[in-house]
Amino acid sequence: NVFTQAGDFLLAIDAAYEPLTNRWRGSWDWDAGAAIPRDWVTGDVMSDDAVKGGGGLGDQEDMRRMQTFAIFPTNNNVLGIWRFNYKGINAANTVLQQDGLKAPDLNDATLKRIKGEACFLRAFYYFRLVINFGAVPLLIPEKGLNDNTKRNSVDEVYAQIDEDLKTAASVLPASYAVTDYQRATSGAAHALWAKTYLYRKLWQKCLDEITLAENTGNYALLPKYADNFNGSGEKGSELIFASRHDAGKTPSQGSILNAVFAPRGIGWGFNLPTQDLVNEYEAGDPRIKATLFKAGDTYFDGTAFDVSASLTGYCVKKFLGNFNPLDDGGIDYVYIRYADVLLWKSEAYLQLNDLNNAKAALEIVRARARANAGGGVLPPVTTGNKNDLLTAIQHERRVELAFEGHRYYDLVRWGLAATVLAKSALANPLTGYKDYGEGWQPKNALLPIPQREADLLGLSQNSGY
Amino acid sequence: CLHVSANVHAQKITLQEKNTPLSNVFRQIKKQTGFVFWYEDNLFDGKRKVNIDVKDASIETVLNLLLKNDDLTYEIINKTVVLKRRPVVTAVPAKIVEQKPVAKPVKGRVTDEDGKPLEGVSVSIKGTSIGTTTRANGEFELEIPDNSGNVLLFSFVGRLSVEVNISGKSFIKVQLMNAGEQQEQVTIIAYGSQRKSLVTAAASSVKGGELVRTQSADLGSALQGMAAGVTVTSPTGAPGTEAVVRIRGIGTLNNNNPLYIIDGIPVNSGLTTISPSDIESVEILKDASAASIYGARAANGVILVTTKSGAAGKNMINIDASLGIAAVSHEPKMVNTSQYIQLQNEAFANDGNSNRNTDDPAKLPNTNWQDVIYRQGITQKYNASFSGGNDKTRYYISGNTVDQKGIIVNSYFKRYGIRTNVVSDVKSWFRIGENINITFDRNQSVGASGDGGRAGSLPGVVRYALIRPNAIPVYDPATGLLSDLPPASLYKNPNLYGDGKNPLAIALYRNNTLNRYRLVGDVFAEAKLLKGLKLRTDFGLDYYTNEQQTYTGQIPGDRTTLTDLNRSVDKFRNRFNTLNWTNVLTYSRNIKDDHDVNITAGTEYVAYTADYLSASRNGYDARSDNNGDLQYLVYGTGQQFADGVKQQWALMSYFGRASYAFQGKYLATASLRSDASSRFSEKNRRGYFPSFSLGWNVARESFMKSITWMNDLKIRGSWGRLGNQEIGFYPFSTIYSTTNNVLQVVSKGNPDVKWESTEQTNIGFDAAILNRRVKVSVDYYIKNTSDILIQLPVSFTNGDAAPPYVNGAGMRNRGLDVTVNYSQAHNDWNWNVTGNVTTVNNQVTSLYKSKEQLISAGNGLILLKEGESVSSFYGYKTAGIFQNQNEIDSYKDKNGNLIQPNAKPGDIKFADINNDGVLDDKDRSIIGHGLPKFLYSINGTVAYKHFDLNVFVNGVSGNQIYNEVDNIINSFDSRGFNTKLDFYNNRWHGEGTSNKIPRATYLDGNNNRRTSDRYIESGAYVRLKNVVLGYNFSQKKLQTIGITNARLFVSAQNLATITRYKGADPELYTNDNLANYGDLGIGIDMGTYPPARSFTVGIQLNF
Repeated sequence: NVFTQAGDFLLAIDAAYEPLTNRWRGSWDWDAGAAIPRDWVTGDVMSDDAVKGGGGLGDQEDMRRMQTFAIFPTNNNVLGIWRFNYKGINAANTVLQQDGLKAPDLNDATLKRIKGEACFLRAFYYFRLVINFGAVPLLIPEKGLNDNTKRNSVDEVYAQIDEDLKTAASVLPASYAVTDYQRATSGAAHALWAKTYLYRKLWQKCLDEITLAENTGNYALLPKYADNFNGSGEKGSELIFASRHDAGKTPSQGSILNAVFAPRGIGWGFNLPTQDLVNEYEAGDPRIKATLFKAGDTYFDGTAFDVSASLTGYCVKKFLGNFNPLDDGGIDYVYIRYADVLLWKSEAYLQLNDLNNAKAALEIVRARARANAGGGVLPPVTTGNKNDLLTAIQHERRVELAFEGHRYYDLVRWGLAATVLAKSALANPLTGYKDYGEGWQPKNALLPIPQREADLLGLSQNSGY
Repeated sequence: CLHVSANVHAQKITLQEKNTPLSNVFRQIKKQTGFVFWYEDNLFDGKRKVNIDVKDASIETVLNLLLKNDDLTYEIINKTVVLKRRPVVTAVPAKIVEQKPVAKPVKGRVTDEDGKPLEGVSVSIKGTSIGTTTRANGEFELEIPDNSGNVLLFSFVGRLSVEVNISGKSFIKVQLMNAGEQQEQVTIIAYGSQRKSLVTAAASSVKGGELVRTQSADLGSALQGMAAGVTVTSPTGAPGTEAVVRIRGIGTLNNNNPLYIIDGIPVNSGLTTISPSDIESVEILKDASAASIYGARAANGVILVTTKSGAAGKNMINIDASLGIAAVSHEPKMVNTSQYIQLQNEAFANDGNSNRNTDDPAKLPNTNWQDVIYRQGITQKYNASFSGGNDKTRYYISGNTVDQKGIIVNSYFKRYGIRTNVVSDVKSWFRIGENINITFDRNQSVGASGDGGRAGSLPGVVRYALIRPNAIPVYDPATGLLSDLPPASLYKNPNLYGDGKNPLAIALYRNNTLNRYRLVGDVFAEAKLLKGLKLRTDFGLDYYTNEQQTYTGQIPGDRTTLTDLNRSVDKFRNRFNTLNWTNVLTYSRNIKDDHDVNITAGTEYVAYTADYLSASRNGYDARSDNNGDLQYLVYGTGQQFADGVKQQWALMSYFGRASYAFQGKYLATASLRSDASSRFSEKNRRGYFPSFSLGWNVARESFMKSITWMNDLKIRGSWGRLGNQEIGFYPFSTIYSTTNNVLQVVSKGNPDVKWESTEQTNIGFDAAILNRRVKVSVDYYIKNTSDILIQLPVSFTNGDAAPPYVNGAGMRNRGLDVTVNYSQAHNDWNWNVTGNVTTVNNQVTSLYKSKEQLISAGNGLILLKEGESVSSFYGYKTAGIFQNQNEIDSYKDKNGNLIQPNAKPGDIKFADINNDGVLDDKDRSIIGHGLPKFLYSINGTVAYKHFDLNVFVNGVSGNQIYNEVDNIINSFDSRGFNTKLDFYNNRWHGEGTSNKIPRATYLDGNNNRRTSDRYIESGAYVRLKNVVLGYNFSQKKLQTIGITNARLFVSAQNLATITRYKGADPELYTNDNLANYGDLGIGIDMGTYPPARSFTVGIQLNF
C-alpha cells in the first residue's frame, strides 16, 4: 500500500494497459522479446494472410521461423508474447493489491472502477496466454497464488478469467469521458467474455455475453469501414476495445507499427499481404483498399505506392497513418470492434443451428461493405446449408478482419490450420510465395513455453517442442 | 641528496649538562640559537642521555661533540638541524663489486641491493660540483679532472649515500642500500606504510616504470601479467577501453571490480584517466589481512596507486615521447563472391527449393569488408614532468597527452592530463600537501561490438564487416554514395545479399564521442602530536563529468530517408562525485630495538553522488547534416525531451589496526573495520570486518645463520573477513517509476538484504636465496564468499520489474599465487627475470534454494550450478554429422521413433544425453568453462652495455570460449550473411565430406544452430605481449649539450600469439553486449574491436 494519491492509482492502472500498446519502448531488444507486442506475428504472419517481409529472409529470423513453423522454445517472439502478457498481469496485480486507504483523495467509486479495469486487463492477458500456451502459472496475489513455477490447468486459467470478467463487467462503467475513451468498459468486459466462450465453443454463453455487451454499449458499425483504421473512428460506436496511440506526445505515445508495416524504403516493410489474401476478396469489395496498398494505390501524402517495395507486391495499410514521423503513429490498434463481435454472433448462432440469425448478423457486416462500394457488390448470403454458411462466415472474417491479428487463431480454432497452412510446393521464401516450411503440425496448436522461463522456473514444456 | 651547508654559523652556544636526555639538550640549543631540530620519532631512544660542557661554541662543534661515536649524524639547512642515522660505512657501505685498471673517464653501474639498476642516482666528485646521474640501466660515465680528487659521492633519495674511492679503478659497481628506518625497504600499505620485512600480508607491488614500458594508455591494461593472482582482460581492443581487473578470481555474482585508491582517494571507475607515466608504484592487496581494513569495499581486493612526487635537492626535468603504429592482428578469412553464391545455391538445393542465385560472380564486386574498415592506427604519447624541492617543500608537476588513432576507421582516444603534487613541512611538527590530477579525455567509439541489440549500443562495425557479403560494393555505382542495401542494379535478386549495414557507413556516421572531465584531488595535513604519534587528515574528491552528444542525421546513401522530424540531437551529461574525509591516528614506536609497535586508528566518510541528465530534440533540417554548428538542441524545431535521475550512497566507517614485531622475527597484525552503508536497510546497516595475521622471519633466527644460501625466509598466515557493498544503490526498497506516464514497479526490494561477506585465508612465504639473486614468493588462498546477493531468477513471468535481491549464493575461490624472480649482474651483463603463476579454482558452493540458474547471452547459455565454476557453458553435445538417411533412421528410441525426425543428411547429430529417446532441453549439459584455471607470465630484462631488452610473455589455459560470432556467420543462417572460408572448406556436402561442420541450409529444421559444443573452442593462448629494445646514449657526449640521460627505445606489442582459437582474439572474450551479465558472461565472444599489433619508437630525456 504505497500509493498515497489518486493520481498514483491512475498512473498505475495505465501501466497495466501499457503492454497492449505498440509504443516505442526505447530499444529494439528483440532477443529478450521486449520490442513490441507480437499479436500480428502470430495472428497475421503465421496465417495465410501474410509473409514476414522486412529486409530479406534473415531480418527477424525468429519471425520467419514462426512463419515456417520451425518454432523452437528459444524463439524471441514466443518470449515476447509471454513477456508482454505477464508484464500486464503483474501491473494489474500491483493495482489489485492496493487498498487505497493511504490515498485520501481517492474516492471509492474511482478505486472500484480502477480495480475493475485491472480485473478486465488481467483476464485479457490470461486469455491471450491460454490460447497461445495452454496451461500457464496463475499469479493471483489476492488469493495467495504466487507460485510461478507450476503451470495451472487450462480450466483453472479460464475459471480465473471468468471470475475477473464477472467483476469487471459488474463494476466498470458503460462509457467514459471522451478523454478516457481507451479505458475498458463493461461492454468490453462482456465482449471479451463472449470471445473466451467462442474459443471454448460454449456458443450459448457466447451469445448471452454478446447480448449483454450490446445492451450496455449501443454499439453499431461505423458508416465507413475505413474509418476504423485511419483514426476517425477511434472514439466511435464500433470501437469496443483498442490500445490508444496519440502522435506528437512527450513522452511518445505513438505507434511504432507505423514504421514496422510501412513499405520498405519508407519503413521496415514487415507483415506483407499475400496474393492468396488478395484473391479472397470478392470483386469490388471496397474493404481491400482500406486494408492494404496495391499497385496503383497512393500513400497518405498522395505519392504512388511503390510495388517493388514489397516481395508480394502488397503492403499493410490498416493502422498506419501519416508516415511523418514514421515512428510516432497516431492510429489506435483495435483489439475488439463490433464487426468482429457480429461475426462471433453469426458463428455462434450457426453452431446452435439458428441459420437465420447467423445470416442476419453476417449481413450487417456485408451490408456496410456493400454500402461503402455504392452497392452492386457483395450480395447477401442466402444459403440454407450450414457448411456453406460456415464457409461464408469464415470468408467474411478473413476479409473484414484482415491484419487485425485474428486469422491464425481462427484457423486453429476451426481446425483448418493443418490444411491451409500445409507445406507448399510453391514455397519460395525469396519471391514472396508463402513458405510454410514444414507446415503446420498439431503440436503448433500451442506455442512452446519460452526456454528462458522454462529454464528459470522449471516449467514443463508443451508436447512436441 | 641533502646539501650540507658549508658556512659556519655564528651563534655561540654555552652548555653544561650531565646525564641529560638528548632531547632536552636540543631544546636548550633551540632556546639559545633559534635552531630547530627535525628528526624521525624513532631515530633514537628517548631515554638517551648525554654529557656536554662547552662555552661559546659553534653549533657544529656542539653537534659534533654530542653525536660523536654515535649512530647519528646531522645536516644544517637554514635554521633547521636535520638529524639522521649515520651511513654505516663500515657495515653495509658500497659493495665494490669489481675493479678494473686505471683509466679515465670512470664508468660504472649503480644498482639496488637486489642488483636492479637504479636510474637517476646522483654521482659527483667529492668536494666539487662535477657530477652526473645514472641512466635507466644504472650506468654512468664521468670525466675525472686530474686535480679533482678521487672520491665519488653516490646519493639517491631513499637510499644511503656512499663515498667510494676510485683511485686506480675505471669501472666500479655500487649497490645503494635502502635508507629509511633500519636501512630497509618501506612498502605502502592501507592507510600508511610498513617496513617490508614486517609485512605479513599477501600483496604485490608493481613499479611505475614497468607499467610505462607496456605502452598501455591506461593503468588497468598495464597491470596485465605484472603480478601473481591478478587477472587482466581487455573487453575490446578499442582505444580508451578500460581493462577488467580481477584479483584472485571471481568472488561474487555481482560487481567484481577491485577497490582503487589513488593517493588515498577511493575512485570508482574510469581509470583510463590516469596516465601510467605519473605512477610511482601500485600495490595490490590480495589477502584479507592486507585489504580488510577497507571493509565493505575490499572483497575483490584493493589496488593502491601511489603517484610520483618530488625529491628534495634533485631538480629534474623528464621528457618522454613516443610514436607507435598499429594494425589489426588477425582477420578471419571469409568466402569470396563466387564461393558465396555457390554456397547459397547449395543451400537452396539442400532445402528442396527451386530458387537459384544465377548472378555471375565474375561481374560482381568482391569486397573485403575487413580491409575496408581497418586502417593503420597511430599513437602518440608525450609526457613532461618537473620535480624537485628542498627539505621543507617538494613538488612534482607533470603534463601528459595521448593521441591514439584506432585501427578501425574514425575511432580515436585522446587524453590530456596535468598532475601537481606539493608537500611542505610548514612547521617541524606539521606537514601539509596536495595531490591533484586533472584530465580531459575524448573517446570516439564506432560501435564496434555486437549487434547493437542492447539498449544504447550501436550496430557493430566489426560484426557487419564479417557478415556483409563480398558481393556488395563499398560505394553504390549508381549514386557514388556509400552503399546500403545491395544496389538493385547489380543483381537479379538483391534480396539474396541480405540487409546488413555498410560497416564503413556505421564507422563514419554512427559514432559516439564521449568527453570526460575528471578531477581527482586530495589535500592533507599531518601533525606530530607526541613522540611517535601522528594525526593525518585527508580530504579527497573524485569528480568527473561524462558528456556525450549524438546527432542522428541522414547518412548519404542510406536506405532510410530521414525527415526533419527523424533528425535529432541526443545529449547527456552525467556527473559523478565521491567525497571522502579520512582521519588516521598512527602511533609507531621501536622500544629498545626489540619491539616494533604500530597502532593505527581512523575514521572514514565516503559519499557518492551520481547525477544523470539527458535531453534530446528532433526537427533538424538537411543543413544540419553537414554543419556541426547546427547540431545543438537550440536549433531543433521539434519535440524536446529531458530526463534525469540521481543516485547516492554513503559509508561511515571506523577502523583500527595494531601490529607488533619482536626482534623483527615474530610478527603479528590485527585489524578491524566497522562500516555503515546506506545500501542496506537500517537493521542491517553496519558490518564488521576483522582480520588477523602472523609472520615469522625464519632467516633471522640464530639457527639459520649457518645456512648461508638462505638470505631471507618469511612465513606468513592470515585470515580475515571482507565485504562487498556493490549490489545496487537501494536493494532494500521497491522502486517505482513514472516513466512514460505510467506508474510501475521498476525493481522490487528486500528489506532483509544483508552484507555479502568474504572470508579469506592465506598462507604463504617469501624467500630470498643465493645472495638474493633468486626470490620466491608463494601464497595459497581460500576465499569463501557467502550471502552473495543475487537477483535471480529474472523471470518475465513476474513482470518486467527487476526481482528483489536475496542473500542467496555462495562461491569459493582457491589457488596459488607464485612469483619467482631471478636477477644477476656480471661484467657488462645484467639479467632480471620474473615469472608469475596464478591458479584459480572457482566453484559456486550454494545457490538460492539450490536451484541452478541459466542465463542466456546471445545464443550462448551460461549455467550457474552448485559445484560448478561460475560461467559454465550449457548446451547440447554434438555426435558428428548424419552422413546419410540411414544414420538418421537408425538414431531412434526403443519404440522405434526417430530421435531427430527433422534431420536431413548433413545435419548435426545431437547426443541424447539422458537416453530417454527424446532430444529435448534435458539433453543439455555443461560443455565448457569460461574461466581460465591457470594464468602465467614471464617478464625478462637483459641489459648489455648501452642496450637493454625486455621481453614480456603471458598466457592462460584451462578455459573455453563460446564462439558466438561463428554462431552468427558460420551457421549459414538465412540472413544473406557472409560465411567464413573455414565453413566453405570444411562443410558437409555429400557423404563423408565432413563429420564436424553441417550442410548449408536455410531452413535448418534440425536446429543445427542451437547452443552446442559446436561453438566451443579452447581459449588457451600464449602471447608475446611486449618486446622493448632500448639504447642509452653515452653520457659523456650528452653532458656537453646539457642532457643528463637519453634513451631511445623501440617496442612491439602483441607480436605473436599461439592459440588454437579461431575467432578474432582469445583474450577479448568479454563484450558490450554482455555488460548486463558482467563476469557471468565471460568467455562468450560476440565479435568486437580486435586487438592491435603495434610498433612503437620513443625517446626519454632527463635534464
